[in-house]
Amino acid sequence: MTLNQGAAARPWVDRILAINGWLVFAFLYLPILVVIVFSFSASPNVGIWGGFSLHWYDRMFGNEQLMNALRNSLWVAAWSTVISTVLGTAAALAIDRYRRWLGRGVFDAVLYLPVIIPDVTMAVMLLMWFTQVNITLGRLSIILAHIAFNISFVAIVVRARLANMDPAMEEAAADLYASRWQAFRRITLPLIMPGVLGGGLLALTLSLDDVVITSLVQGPGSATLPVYVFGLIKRSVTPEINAVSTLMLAASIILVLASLAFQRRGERSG
Amino acid sequence: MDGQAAVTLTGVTKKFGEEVTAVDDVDLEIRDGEFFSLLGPSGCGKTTTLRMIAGLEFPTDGSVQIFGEEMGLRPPNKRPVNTVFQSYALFPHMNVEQNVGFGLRMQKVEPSEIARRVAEAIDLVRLSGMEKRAPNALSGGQQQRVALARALVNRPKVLLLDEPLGALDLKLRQTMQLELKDIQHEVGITFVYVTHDQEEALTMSDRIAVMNEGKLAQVGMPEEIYGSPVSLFVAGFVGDMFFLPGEVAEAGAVRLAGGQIVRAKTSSSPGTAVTLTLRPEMIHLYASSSELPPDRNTLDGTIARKIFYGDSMFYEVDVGVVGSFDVRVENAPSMRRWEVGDSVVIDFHPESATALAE
Repeated sequence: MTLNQGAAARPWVDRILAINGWLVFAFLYLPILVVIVFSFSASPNVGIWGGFSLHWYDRMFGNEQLMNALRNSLWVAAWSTVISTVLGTAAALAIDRYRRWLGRGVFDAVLYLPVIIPDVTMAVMLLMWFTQVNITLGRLSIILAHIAFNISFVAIVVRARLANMDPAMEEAAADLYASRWQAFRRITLPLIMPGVLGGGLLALTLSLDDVVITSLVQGPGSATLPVYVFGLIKRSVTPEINAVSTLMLAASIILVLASLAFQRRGERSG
Repeated sequence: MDGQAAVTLTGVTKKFGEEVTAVDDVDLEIRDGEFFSLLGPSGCGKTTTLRMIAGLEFPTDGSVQIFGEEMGLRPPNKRPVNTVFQSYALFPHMNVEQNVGFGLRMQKVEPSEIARRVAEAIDLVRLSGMEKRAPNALSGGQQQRVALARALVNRPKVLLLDEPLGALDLKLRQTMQLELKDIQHEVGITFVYVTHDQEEALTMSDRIAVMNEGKLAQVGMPEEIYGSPVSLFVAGFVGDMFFLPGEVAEAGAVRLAGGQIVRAKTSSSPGTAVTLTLRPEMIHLYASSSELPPDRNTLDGTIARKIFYGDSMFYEVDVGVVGSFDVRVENAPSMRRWEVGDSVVIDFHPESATALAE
């Protein structure tokens, strides 16, 4: 009651807070809205509305370089996601399992490092390493670089899931005549699956979005979509970029929502 | 109980790292068909002992035998025992039926046989109708029953229970205690039950092993553990107890701090410093020693405090340097009432007092 009376006595505070909230949202989302709206504009000038048209989407799909970049992106994202999800999950299991292991703290820190260090540093490190071991810069080097930073993200998500898992689960499986492999396959894996899928989708998103690292370790013709778009912007901003951005935005939103949905579902069932 | 050993521990020791000795040289024989409890405070090694029987931990030293068979480093899935975990550890992605049938599926039992035995086990723990429920749609007591059915359906030679009632509220715990006892009778297998609750151990067990700091403090039937504790630890851990410092005056007699000489069970030689242990329910109050039957122990005291509890009266009786006694007297109409300041005589039978050395 007291709270309600307080709120009623100062309605203008509520109103100012509400306005502030809307301003923050506008600041964040209006530019995005502008990009989306003008991607459907018929005018060749960015920022001038020339009536509704799918012209720029049509041109985008006809742009051979852009389509090649999209293929590169999907190829790199697919491989780096699958490999980093498997390795990241294995790493998370290893760290969680051998708690009494000497040097676990070190392993932990090393695993978190790629998340913390700046992209540029990571890119330079990887570039130097690739030249040292004679890996030709191209799709392969990009995939390896994406695996390198994605393992950490996957491992962190899976570990959060493992931390919530009752260690007695696997013991119960063993007690009920399951071999180690059966216990993993029938009990552990299904229970951490939301984390594995969530981590995998996160890896996929990060791989599709990465510009800094990819642009340093790419080779001729291996530019991914975001790197190609970044290159285009340096020359001129065309409504075609709006169309590309809109599609990338849609793809990212879908992936992030799916990732969140998997992790949520896991929390409920866990 | 045919006396055959179900589980035999010989010199079992478990060390974690260099410093921590969780279980220290334990010799124990659990008989076939027995309801056997491992009782002790947390960290006494009772759960580690159970886990070594299950194969979830391996002894640093010593041997674990199950029905005469050396277990060695045999993993849990190769041992003829099943465990009810403290957290139940029900698989959240499987329903009740699937949980209960898991062990049979892993053993590759015929599907028709699995269906029959699962239904039987679910019936045994009275969960019929809940087969398709998910574990987290069940109450704590129901989850506990699923865990029990999941273990029993495999017809283990020994069932291991790790504080299975710890998470339940008092009322449910008492119901489940009786039910567990009934189920044990029905299936007729050996139960090894870990608990820190001495009352639970006393009411349910055929025999109890009291553990302290990794060692066995005493093994015996509940009456022995309660009535004749062999150490001050057991005396203090199991049930309520008065502790009176003194020394042995002569065989069968103890001199208390105030100089009073009382008769008590003791195995110590004269002159040894001992603590006289006395169960509160063995104490009675009288107005003077002339009202007492002969051959009793008496101590003179004064009523220092009285509290009315409805069904009983509580008196605090001050006996000078010996200490003060909290005495509960049931409120029967024939019972005498005392007032603060009254002189009373505390009476206890020599057989109910045990003098224990440190």
